[in-house]
Amino acid sequence: MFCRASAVVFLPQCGQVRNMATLKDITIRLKSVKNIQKITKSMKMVAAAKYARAERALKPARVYGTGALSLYEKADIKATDDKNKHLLIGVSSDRGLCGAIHSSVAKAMKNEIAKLSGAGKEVMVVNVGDKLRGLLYRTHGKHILMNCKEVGRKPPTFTDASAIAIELLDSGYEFDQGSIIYNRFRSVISYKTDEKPLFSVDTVANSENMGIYDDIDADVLRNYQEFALVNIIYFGLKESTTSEQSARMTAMDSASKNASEMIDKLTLTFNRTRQAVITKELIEIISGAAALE
Amino acid sequence: MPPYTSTKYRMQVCVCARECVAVWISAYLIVMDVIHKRASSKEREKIAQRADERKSNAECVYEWKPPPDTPTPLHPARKAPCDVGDSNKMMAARFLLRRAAPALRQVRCYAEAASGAPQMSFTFASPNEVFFKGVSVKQVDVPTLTGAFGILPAHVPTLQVLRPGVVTVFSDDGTSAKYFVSSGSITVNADSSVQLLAEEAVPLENLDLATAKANLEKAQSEMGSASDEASRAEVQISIEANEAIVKALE
Repeated sequence: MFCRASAVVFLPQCGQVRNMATLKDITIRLKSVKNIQKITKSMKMVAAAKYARAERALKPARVYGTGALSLYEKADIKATDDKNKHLLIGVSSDRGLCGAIHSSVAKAMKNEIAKLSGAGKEVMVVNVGDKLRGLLYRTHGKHILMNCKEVGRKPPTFTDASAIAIELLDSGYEFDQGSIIYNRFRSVISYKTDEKPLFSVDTVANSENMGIYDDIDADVLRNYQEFALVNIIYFGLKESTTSEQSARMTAMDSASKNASEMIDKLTLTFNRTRQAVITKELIEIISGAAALE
Repeated sequence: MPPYTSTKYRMQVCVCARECVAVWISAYLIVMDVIHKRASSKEREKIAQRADERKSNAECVYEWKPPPDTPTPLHPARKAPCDVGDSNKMMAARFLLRRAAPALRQVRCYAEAASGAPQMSFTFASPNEVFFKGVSVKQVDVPTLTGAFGILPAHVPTLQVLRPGVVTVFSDDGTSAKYFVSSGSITVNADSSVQLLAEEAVPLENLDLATAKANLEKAQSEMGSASDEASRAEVQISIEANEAIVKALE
């Protein structure tokens, strides 16, 4: 009835695609998953050791950082709304496999950039950590002022923070206010992306509550502000590394657990396949012998 | 002889004049008092405000309290309405009050007792180590770029930058602890909390005098060979720091 054109009809090779995997395939897969489990377990051990060290160093760094920020809180320094130049410092690291560390900071930075650009302010971004650069340069490349590499391999020191601050101040970008976005460490299993304010010398000097602080001249205030900038960056770096190591520990732990689950499943499949192969051989032998009779 | 030329009469006139002056002064004061009592609450508020300003500028340690028989000033949000007829009286009252207020303050006020002095919450930390965290201490001596000074509770708020030197902390039980700091900052807030953030700080016991002297000589010899400004500044800083260490240890 229907006149079919003589088109070439491709018959899907359904029958042969989902073939029962041979023993060799399963063996290969099992071996590779076992290797991966070993690697993730050792990465978890390394991350746990680094996390313990980072958390020990975080205790004094936290007191130091909150001391540095207390001036801004107690004097309630706020920049006026007509200031246009903003700075965002995003603190992360170079290495991956640590869960949502980099993406949460990048998301917060993208939101901030969108909000500030929408309000007509000029925003420039400093990336501490290569991963952030990778996440941001495609869409917000023109906002990037500075990138810092080789972050995360060794624990951050005050010297690193001061190097970043010196570069930032030398870059010539006269920002009025800004914020540093980092991951604040809450506990072994949780961290939160947080934002702390930064101000320039002029903003602090012109703030209304600064009048109660006496005997301040411009030189002292500038030195004080530069030192405070380094302190805040150091605080952000320390919190960030601790969060990163704890996140990596958690991620590798769950990766190892998943790998063990896969190994169990694959082992079962392997045994079943092995039994099926033996049964098949037996059937062939028996049916061959039965056919001879 | 006209009576006014005699000495006796002149003296009497003088005495009279003095009495008149005395009477005039007392009358003036009484009038001031009356006008003051009749001044509206807004005036009292203004006076209290001015007194607060003066107190915060530390010009007069006395605190002016309104006389006890008058009602307390109204809350600023609920100012008493004043009609136009009063404005002239108020102008006069204000003018006279401004002149009289200092006299009134000195008559009425006393210094506040020091029993309610705020405690100093002292935080002393370096990036790697915390020495004091929110501890209440008696006094802290710090070396700053503008000179060394001691900080007691209720010190006026200030921000300072440290120079290489010795920080001495006198705690409440009388013991003192000395630390050598390289640089840093100190913040004294209005609520009498003090944050001393040092870039590097070591207890003085951990420093060795001989090594410090050797470093100082090395730095001084390098001074001659320093060529450009940056390295010269570095050597200068190293000399200053080593000199301070040597001075502290001797």
